[in-house]
Amino acid sequence: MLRDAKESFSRFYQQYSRPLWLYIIKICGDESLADDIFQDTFVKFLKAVPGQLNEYQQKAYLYKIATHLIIDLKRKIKRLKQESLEEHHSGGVDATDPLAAIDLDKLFRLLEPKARTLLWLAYIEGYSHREIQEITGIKEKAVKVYLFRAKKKFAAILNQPGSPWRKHENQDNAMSL
Amino acid sequence: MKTRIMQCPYEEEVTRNIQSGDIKPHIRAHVESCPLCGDLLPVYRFLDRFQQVAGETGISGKVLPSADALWQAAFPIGLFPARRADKKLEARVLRPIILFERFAFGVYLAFACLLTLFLLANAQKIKHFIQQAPGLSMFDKFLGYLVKPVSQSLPLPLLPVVLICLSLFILLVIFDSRSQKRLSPRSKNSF
Repeated sequence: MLRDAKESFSRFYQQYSRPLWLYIIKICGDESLADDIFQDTFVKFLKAVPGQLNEYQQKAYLYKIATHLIIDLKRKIKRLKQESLEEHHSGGVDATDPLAAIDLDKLFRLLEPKARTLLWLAYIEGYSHREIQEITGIKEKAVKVYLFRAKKKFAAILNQPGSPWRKHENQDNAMSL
Repeated sequence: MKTRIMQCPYEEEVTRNIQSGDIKPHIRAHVESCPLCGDLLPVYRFLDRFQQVAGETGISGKVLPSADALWQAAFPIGLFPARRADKKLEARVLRPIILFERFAFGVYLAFACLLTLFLLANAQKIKHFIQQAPGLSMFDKFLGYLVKPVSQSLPLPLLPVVLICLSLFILLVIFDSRSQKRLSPRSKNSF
């Protein structure tokens, strides 16, 4: 039984560990913090995951734990009056000037963590609004609002003349031609 | 100011088209005219590219802890086997209670069978006794009045048998539900 459980976890880990790490690092920003959150996520998951969930639900549960750990960590940092996680990671990127962001990573970090989380869950992981509510604890209606705002804001950043993303796309198009 | 929430009914279809990389002409026309889907296109393209780039650069070289290490972190010093030992201990402690419950149930069943046989064998005598006793004859009449439709088809002494069977059935249901509860898994962990 123990061996079965361990093997089952190994398979699950093999499949979802890298996407999860990518999610954590892109939302929280700092690699060492991401490592801690990643480890804590799996430890908590192993200790608490309800047995009756299927694999898809277990994955959502995993993301839920990770999202809450990121939120907790940010709260702690705020409470300790340290530098915000955003500034800490981005090396002081001026969020008002998207042109200062020289790569995709920095461009994505121009958004607030909540917006990043929602966009990631909705368009990379493909979760529905209801599922996002389950994962983040934000109500379904609010998810719609935040997602709408995030999309609008980010599209404006991306479409701004001279935006690095435009340059990036132009390069890609030129290369494909 | 309150943001007006708009959700385009074509959003899912647009997303599917973008995902597949093959945007159909009518969807392309819609994206160009719809402000919501117009926002979705660059955002989705960015996220797709972003994930691709991150996958190519950051994550591929990243060494993540092994599944074994995380398992050990979650269940240090064989905590998981210890849980199983706890369950075994629990079963050992509960065994006398379960055995006694089964014994009591068996005794009840045997007694109920004996009583039924006794009542059936002495049905006439009991009926005669009830009719003879002054207080009980009133009770018999009253009972007869109450269960007249039943008593017409069923002899009166069979009533206790029916009652015993009914109580036996109730006892059986209670016993079964209790044992189900006891046998249900306590651990909520699937791993």
